[in-house]
Amino acid sequence: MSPDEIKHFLVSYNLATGKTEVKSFGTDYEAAQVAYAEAEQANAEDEKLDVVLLSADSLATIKQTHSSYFSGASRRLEELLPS
Amino acid sequence: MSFSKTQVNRAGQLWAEHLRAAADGGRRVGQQRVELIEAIQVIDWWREEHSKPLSRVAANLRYYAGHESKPIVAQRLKKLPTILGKLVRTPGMKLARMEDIGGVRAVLSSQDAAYRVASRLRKNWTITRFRDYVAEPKADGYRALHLINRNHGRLIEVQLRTRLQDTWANSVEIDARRVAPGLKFGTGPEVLRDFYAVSGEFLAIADQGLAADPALYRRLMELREPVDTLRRRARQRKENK
Repeated sequence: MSPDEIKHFLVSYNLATGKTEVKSFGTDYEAAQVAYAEAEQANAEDEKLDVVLLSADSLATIKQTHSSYFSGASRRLEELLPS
Repeated sequence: MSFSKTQVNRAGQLWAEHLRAAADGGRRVGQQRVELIEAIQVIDWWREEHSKPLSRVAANLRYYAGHESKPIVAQRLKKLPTILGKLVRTPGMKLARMEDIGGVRAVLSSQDAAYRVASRLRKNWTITRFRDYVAEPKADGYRALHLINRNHGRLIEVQLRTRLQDTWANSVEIDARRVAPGLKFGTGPEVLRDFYAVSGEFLAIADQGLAADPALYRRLMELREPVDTLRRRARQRKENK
């Protein structure tokens, strides 16, 4: 897979509600970076969101490598431990 | 638009000083506002400078990790608040030398697989630093292999984790966000820090394919309830806000 085939996702985790929004930019890394900087600026004053730009072959990969932004991840560790 | 490393460092320093002063209660935002906005543009530009090297490193890592199994690889450009936070916490740190503005992570099937990928990378890439947090875990219990690769003049951090290490680290992120912001920096409730130290060790033993240590097992059982209580209280505080 070449670098140009990677897909870009702007992930916004709402710290108050615990909900995650994902905006997909396909393979357009430049547009994704512009949106990233804009989202950070808009959020700079009150920091209600945790915004991050993540990229991979698919959203499914990101849900695995950066599971903390998605629901259900906290249970995953518990499942590996004795109960 | 292009800036020198001196300008990049100065922009980082300006923000670090501003945020340290703000934390001490001495806001002097008015006078500096224009300089601060310009500095953010420089920092943004510097981060963007990492995007192409980052994508190249990620593509290359997919190839080297692909020898093991279907590679699970993702990349991220560091969040601006996290970049600034690191500059504030680390006096003397120069932004142009920050090693993890571009970061790529691979999740591998076993500890042996992670070590094999690391040795392939060290053989084939320009690695400026190798940190073995498996042999020497961080104080909080974090385990992984970290390599810094220089690619077209930019430093990119590579994290190699097993599935267990990755699940553990993501769980820390969640509790840092919901329960104790200082968790990743060695503060926060002792019970929670204990839980992560012990569970990190417990999983490391599993990653080595060894049988569970009964003492660690007992300690985890003891910590379960107090940790649940902490999380429940944090949830309730949020709901009552």
